[in-house]
Amino acid sequence: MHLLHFPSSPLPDSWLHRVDPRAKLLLVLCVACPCLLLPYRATLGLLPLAAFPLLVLVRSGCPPRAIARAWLTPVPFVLFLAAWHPWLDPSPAWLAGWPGELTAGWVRFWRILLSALVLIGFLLALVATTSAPALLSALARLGAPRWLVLILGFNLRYLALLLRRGADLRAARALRAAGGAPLSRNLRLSAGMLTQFLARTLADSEQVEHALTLRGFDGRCPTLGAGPLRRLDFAVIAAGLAIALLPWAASWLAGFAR
Amino acid sequence: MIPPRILIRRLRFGYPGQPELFHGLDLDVQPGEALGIIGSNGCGKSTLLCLLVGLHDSGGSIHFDDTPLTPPNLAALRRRVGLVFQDSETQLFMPTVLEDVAFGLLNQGLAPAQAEARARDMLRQIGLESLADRPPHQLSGGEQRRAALAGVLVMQPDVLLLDEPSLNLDPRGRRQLIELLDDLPRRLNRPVTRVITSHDLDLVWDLCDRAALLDGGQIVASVPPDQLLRDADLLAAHGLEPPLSLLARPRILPASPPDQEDRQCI
Repeated sequence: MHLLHFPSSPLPDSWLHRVDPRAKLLLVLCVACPCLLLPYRATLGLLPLAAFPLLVLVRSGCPPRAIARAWLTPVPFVLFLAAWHPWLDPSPAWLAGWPGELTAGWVRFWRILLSALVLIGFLLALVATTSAPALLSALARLGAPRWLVLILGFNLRYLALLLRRGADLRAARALRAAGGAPLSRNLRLSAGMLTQFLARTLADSEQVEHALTLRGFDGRCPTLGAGPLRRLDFAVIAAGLAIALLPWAASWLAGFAR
Repeated sequence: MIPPRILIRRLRFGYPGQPELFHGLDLDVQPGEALGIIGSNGCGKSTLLCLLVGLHDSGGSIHFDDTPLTPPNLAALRRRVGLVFQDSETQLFMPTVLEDVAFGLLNQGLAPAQAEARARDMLRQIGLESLADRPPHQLSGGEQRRAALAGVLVMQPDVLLLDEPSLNLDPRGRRQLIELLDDLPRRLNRPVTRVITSHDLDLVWDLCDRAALLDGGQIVASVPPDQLLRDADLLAAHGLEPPLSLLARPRILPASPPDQEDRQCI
C-alpha cells in the first residue's frame, strides 16, 4: 500500500520509487535538522528547500494537482498554530533576507509555516514513492525500536481492517435507509452502529491475537533481510546532507551581504 | 496398533453465559487421515477446531499422539498443528504477503534467507508468487484464503485444521485447493492429518476419508463420506441436506422415481 494514494493515475515507477527506503528516510531526517535547529533569524533559508519535494514529485510522475491538494490540506491547521505568535511577541527582530522591519512574533510565524511546508513536502515525497511495508522495514533496519515498528505495522494493518468494517456498516445502512435521515442526524442509529463497529473490531482483534499466537509469536518480530545500499541510495543520502546544509549556507550569505 | 493422532475424550465446553456446546464429545483421528466435520450452523464446528489448538479452556482431554494438550505443551503442539481460520482477513497481519508467510518460520528460528526461500516456494506452490509483495488487505477473498493457507502450510504441520477452507473461492480456486490438500502428504513427503470443517459437502466428499456429523454437542455419525452424504434421512434429522451435485450422480438417486412435484423442485 502506498500511504498516499493518487487515485487519478496509475502508480508510477520512477527512479525515486526504486531508491532504497532507508536512503529516503535518512534524507527526510537530514531535512528535519534545519527545520528544527536553524536559528530563527535564518528562517528564510528554508525557502529553497520547499521547492525540492515539489520538483522531485513532479519529475517522478506524481500528478501535480494531487500533490498540491495533499500538501495544502494541513495548512489551515499549521496557520492556526502559527497565527497567534505575531500578537504574543511584538518585540523587534531581525530576519536575514527580509527587506524591512519585523517583530519576533512574525519571525516565529514564518518559521512555523515554512518548517511545516518543507517537512510536509518531504514526507509527502517519501510516502508517495514508498510502500508502507517498505517504510516499516526501513525503519526497523535503521535501528528504530522494534516495538515501535511492530505497533506501527499492526496499526497500519488493523487500520485497513477497521476501514473496511466501517465501510461495510455504512454501506449496509445506506442500502436499507431508503431516504431516511442522514446518519449525523440520527443519534440513536449512529450509537447503535458505533456499538456494532466496536464489537466487531473487538472480535477481529481477538482473531488477530489468535493468529499471532498460533504461529509462535512471543513478542519479538523477526523480519526478512534486505540487500545492501546501492550507489543511487548513497547519492540520495548525500543529496539529503547537502540540502540540510543549504539553509545555513543561505543565511550565512544573507548575513554576509547585509 | 498405531495410536490415533488426535484423541478427544469427554470434551466439555461452553462459552460464558451460554448453554454448554459440547458435553462429553469423543473423537479419534488417525495419522494421515482426512476427516471432514459437517453440521448445521452454530453446532460448534469452528469452536471444536479452536479447542484443538488450545485457544479456549475446555474440560475432558485432548491428546496429540501421546502428548496431552495442556498449558506446558501448548507451544510445542502449536508447532505441529496448523489452523486456518474461516475469516482469512484477520489471519494475515504482516505488511506483505511474503512477510506474513515467513512469519511463522522466523518465529521458529529459521534464518531470514532460509525463511524467505521457503515462503517464496510455498507461494509458488499455491499460485500466489506474483502477489508476494502486496499488502494482504489488497487481495481478494480467495487470494487471502490461499495466503492464510500458505502461512500455515509453510510451517509443515503434522496436523492441519481447516475451517471452511472453500469459503470465498471460485470454482477454479476451489478445485486447486482440493488438489493441493489432497496432494499435501506427497508434497511434504510425510503423512499430514487433516481435519476439515465445512458446509461444502462436495469438498468433504472429494477430499475426506471419513465424515463426522456434529450435532447437539456430540458426534452423531462418523463414517465414510459417501455413506453419510447418501443418508438423506440422517442429514435431514440434523438440519442438513444432501448436496445437489451428489443427487445428480446415478448412485445417489432414490430407488423409486420422484413424482412430478419432486422433479420440478429439483
